Amino acid sequence: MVIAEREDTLLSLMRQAKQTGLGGKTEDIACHTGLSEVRVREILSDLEKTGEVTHQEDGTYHLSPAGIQAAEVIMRKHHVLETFLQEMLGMDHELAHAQACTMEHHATDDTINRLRRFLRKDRGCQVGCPAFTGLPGHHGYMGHHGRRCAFKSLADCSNGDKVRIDAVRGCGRGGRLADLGLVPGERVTVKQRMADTLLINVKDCDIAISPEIARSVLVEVEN
Amino acid sequence: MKIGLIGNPNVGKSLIFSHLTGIGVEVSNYPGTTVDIRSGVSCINYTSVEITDLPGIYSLDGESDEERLVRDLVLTNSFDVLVVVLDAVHLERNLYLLLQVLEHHIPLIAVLNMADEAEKLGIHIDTKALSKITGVPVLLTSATLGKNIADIIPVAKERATTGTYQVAYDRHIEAAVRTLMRVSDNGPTRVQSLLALQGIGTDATLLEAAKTISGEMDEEHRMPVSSILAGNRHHAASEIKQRIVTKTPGKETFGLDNWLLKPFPGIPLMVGILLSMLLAVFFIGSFFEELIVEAFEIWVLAPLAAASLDPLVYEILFSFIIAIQAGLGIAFPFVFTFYLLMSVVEDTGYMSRIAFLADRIMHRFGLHGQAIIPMVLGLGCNVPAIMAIRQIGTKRERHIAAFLITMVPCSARTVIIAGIVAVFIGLYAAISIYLIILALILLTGLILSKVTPGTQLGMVLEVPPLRTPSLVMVLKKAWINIREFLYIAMPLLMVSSVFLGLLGFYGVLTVMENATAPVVHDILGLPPFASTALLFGILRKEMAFETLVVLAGTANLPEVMTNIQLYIFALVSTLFVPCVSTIAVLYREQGLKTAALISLYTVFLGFTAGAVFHWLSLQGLLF
Repeated sequence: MVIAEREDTLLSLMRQAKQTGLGGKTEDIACHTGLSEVRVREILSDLEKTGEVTHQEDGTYHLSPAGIQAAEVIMRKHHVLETFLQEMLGMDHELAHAQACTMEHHATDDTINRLRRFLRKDRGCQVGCPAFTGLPGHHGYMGHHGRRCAFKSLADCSNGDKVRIDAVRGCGRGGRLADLGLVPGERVTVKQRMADTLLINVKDCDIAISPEIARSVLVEVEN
Repeated sequence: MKIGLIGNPNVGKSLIFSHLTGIGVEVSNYPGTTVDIRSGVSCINYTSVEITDLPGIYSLDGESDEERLVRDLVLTNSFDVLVVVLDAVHLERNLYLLLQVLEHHIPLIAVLNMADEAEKLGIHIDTKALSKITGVPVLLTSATLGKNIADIIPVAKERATTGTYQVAYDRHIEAAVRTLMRVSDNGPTRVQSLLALQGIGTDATLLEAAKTISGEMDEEHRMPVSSILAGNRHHAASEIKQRIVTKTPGKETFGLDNWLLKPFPGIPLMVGILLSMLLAVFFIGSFFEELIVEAFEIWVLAPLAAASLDPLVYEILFSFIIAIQAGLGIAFPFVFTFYLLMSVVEDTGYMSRIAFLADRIMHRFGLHGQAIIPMVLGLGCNVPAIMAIRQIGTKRERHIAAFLITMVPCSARTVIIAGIVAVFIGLYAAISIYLIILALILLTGLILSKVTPGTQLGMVLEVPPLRTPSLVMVLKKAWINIREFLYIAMPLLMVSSVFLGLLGFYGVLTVMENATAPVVHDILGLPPFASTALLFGILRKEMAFETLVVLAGTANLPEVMTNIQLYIFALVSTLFVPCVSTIAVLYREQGLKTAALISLYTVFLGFTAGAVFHWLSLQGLLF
């Protein structure tokens, strides 16, 4: 937890500086981070030694240029994670924020970079998937953003693919799909693709589905 | 005692039904729906049992007409015993419905049909274990071989029970059900509470309470309650299946589907099959029609003319017999042949393959694959085809489909094309009319898909395994269809024919002819009496042809009209205004606005096409 506490302290100082332009006091930081003042003082002196924080005469702490850089890296991680959780996984904003606050300390730079690339790729394909925003009866409980094609949908599968259903977005035929066995967790084989119309096999039964419906079934490729 | 047969589509329910009831089947149409329900009576041990074949459904919670109807019947306890028919080959998916029916606490038995197919595929089902798990009697049958079918009614009468199995739902659902069962005064049952959570039911307080709870659950699970329930049920079905089904590698069947469902050769095959169907109807139909019409001429009409009756009586009798002649001349040769072929296509399971193959092209017209089914049906008669539109999704899709189906040349129009164009001008000219109509349908579809507001829902359609249809079932199905056709068409035909005869008798026709003749003559280049024929074509399409013959005073039409006139007459009468029955059903299904719009559009289309051909012929560009 040492890393987490250190980084939280840095972030707290950063926030303070952005809001007020002043340095942070020990008690403010303790209040923000939920750490004890004793612990905050320990961490701050630690940070002072590594040169990320400077101690002013009025008792406040300021970030050094190195400190600012470190804090910005964490901020960026937080931002990427939050975006991913909220927009890709459809998490609630508050929840996504809280989760990102703990995940940011453990995610490596590599993970963050990959996630960022993933998000960017997804933005690019938004134009190509108009159905994702224009589907009738789209309740929006999977997130309020148009770009949901980060997951592969059934429409992206080709002949012989074996996939597992992750989610079925609430479109008008959701009920019938569920009755036929297209529920999250179910295994599906794509038997034949005719243009964009698919013939799939679910529970040993063949089902023909139109492209717009295939797009509402989000899947994960198994093999 | 009343027994209801319930099950998924394509599980052989109808075959079991026909084994159980024999002849004397009654088709009833429930008010407000287009769903046909067949019921029949069977006598076992001196007591009569009424058996009802419910439409095939996937779920009792669904939103389709069939599902709603079956649910209502089940909820109102319309049956003493339910026989749940399951497909032994696809048991897991079928168990889903069984688990749902069990929730309703109605005495039932489970029938695992298609045992022979399952055996061939190496699927072994432990029926005792299934019986033990669910608490209801289980029978293993094979309807195609007639195996164990005789046991169904005795077992249903003596051993049907309500069952003991209960799906363990998600704990939130279970909690919600417990709350709801307390909330309303009249103590809703478990199944009523479950349905209320999905917004189904009649108890307002219960629904209100359920709405709040399901809203919360929707938020928390991030999926609607119906999906959670479906997931839980599928899970339970899958667990039961694992306990009762063992599979040994069975005989691999040759995959005909590899051919039928690939773009190549699937699409050429489909086009070939549909075309040969049409041609078969065309040729078989014209052949038998001629026989029937001739027989009437010789045995009925000639003696009538010779009987020297009072002119008014003669006119009425003559019109009446003409109507029967026309009706039989169409119904049996054309419509029956069509329904016969159609039943084969449906019973083999090829229909859903056509829908799959056609899905892409139908999307161009703002429709989806399933819409091809009513369009093909429309080749027989537009009326049932328009009633079948209900099953295809959104308002926009229904609107487009209604337009296109009314343009599909039905058997009656085939009679015109065959009787006028093919006979007097030639086969190629007849085919060219079909091509013109096809082109106009495609064009209309393209335009409508651009201008019709609304959203598009795609198709979700089960593609059942290919099966060899049973001859008895095919004949029975075709017979039931033709019987309905006769019930609707014949009375209308007789009334309108007598009406026409009387109009002619009192000279009203001449007045009408004089009024419309200039338009018909100047724009279409047709003789004056053709306008009356066209007008009466609205009553029933083929009457345009018959009236033309009557008014021309000769069956050898080229004596009074040129080839181009005949061609234009056939084209206009095929295209313009659907017949009265079609307009009536359009009005009932789609509302006044659409019915009027379609009628006006087709009048415009017919006259424009006719005018264009007339103009071309004046320029000397034709023939």
